Amino acid sequence: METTFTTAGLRRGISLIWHVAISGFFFAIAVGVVARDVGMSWLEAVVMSGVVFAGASQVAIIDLWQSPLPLLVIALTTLGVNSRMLLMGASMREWFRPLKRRTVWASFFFLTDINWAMAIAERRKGETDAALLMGSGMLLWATWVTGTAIGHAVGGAALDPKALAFDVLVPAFFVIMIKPIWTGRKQLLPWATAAAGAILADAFIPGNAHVIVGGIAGSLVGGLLRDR
Amino acid sequence: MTADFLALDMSFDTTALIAILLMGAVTYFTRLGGFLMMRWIPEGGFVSRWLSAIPGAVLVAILAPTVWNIGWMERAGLLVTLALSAIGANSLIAVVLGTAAVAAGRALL
Repeated sequence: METTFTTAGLRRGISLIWHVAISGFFFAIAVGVVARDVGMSWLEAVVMSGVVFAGASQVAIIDLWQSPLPLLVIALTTLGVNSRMLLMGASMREWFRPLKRRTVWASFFFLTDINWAMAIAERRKGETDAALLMGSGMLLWATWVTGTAIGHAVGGAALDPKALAFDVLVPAFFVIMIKPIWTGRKQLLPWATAAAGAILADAFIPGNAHVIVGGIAGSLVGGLLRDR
Repeated sequence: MTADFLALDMSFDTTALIAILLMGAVTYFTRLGGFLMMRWIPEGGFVSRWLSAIPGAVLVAILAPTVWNIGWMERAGLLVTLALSAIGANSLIAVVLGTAAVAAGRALL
């Protein structure tokens, strides 16, 4: 399949992800609130969201935010929590390889779980425009940074998104990727392996290890299965 | 809004800056590294099958523990979304109805 990268693709990426950006915004508010609670300054919290832009790892290091800061532990925790994105990047090989290096480097700064899944699902439906990843990621980034800024500023006065079931919005968004990514019964065994591996890892290993354990186990099984 | 709200803490500790830049560098490495590493991995056969199996496996690995751990009402909401998506409904409608079902369930029960 061919690869394109257009401004229209950036815009389409934004229009495909705005509903997720809403729940990301509430999560960012929560991150801002807890960042304030552990003594991070407003500027530090906002810069962290802008530079790191990875929710789970930011929450993970907030637990470690004390004086003096354990830099090595912070770096290793970040690596552990975010290592799943190595797999996501690898899966983009065929689509992004034809692009210019700086386009690729800029695009991947904006890779998150949700816009990766969205972009891959679109690709499976025949999408050529790789700018979907960057456009959607830019909107997520903007709402993420804004949310952190607001959360830290208002502190504990933040609202409760649970009543509106915003906690279900993100899993629901992943659920709609299932159909486009499902290619047939041959995937039953890899998917079952991924599910079992992820549930076990989630029960016994902290952080986001479940994604990388389940993702590696399931994809390796998929790779080992010969085409019939 | 109180004046307290506007008094944003603009201080920036040097160690905090180092920690944040370190986190940013490590995270960016995980975003880009997987893609770059594939340059050294040969094409075809096992590698192609493995790469094409990654999206499904990662998607399932993200969702499985959530589905395992949430309550029956949340699971029902996700099933609504899955069913709507499977019959070809607009994905926004599928997400909104699944989420709304959970919100309604929480309000009623």
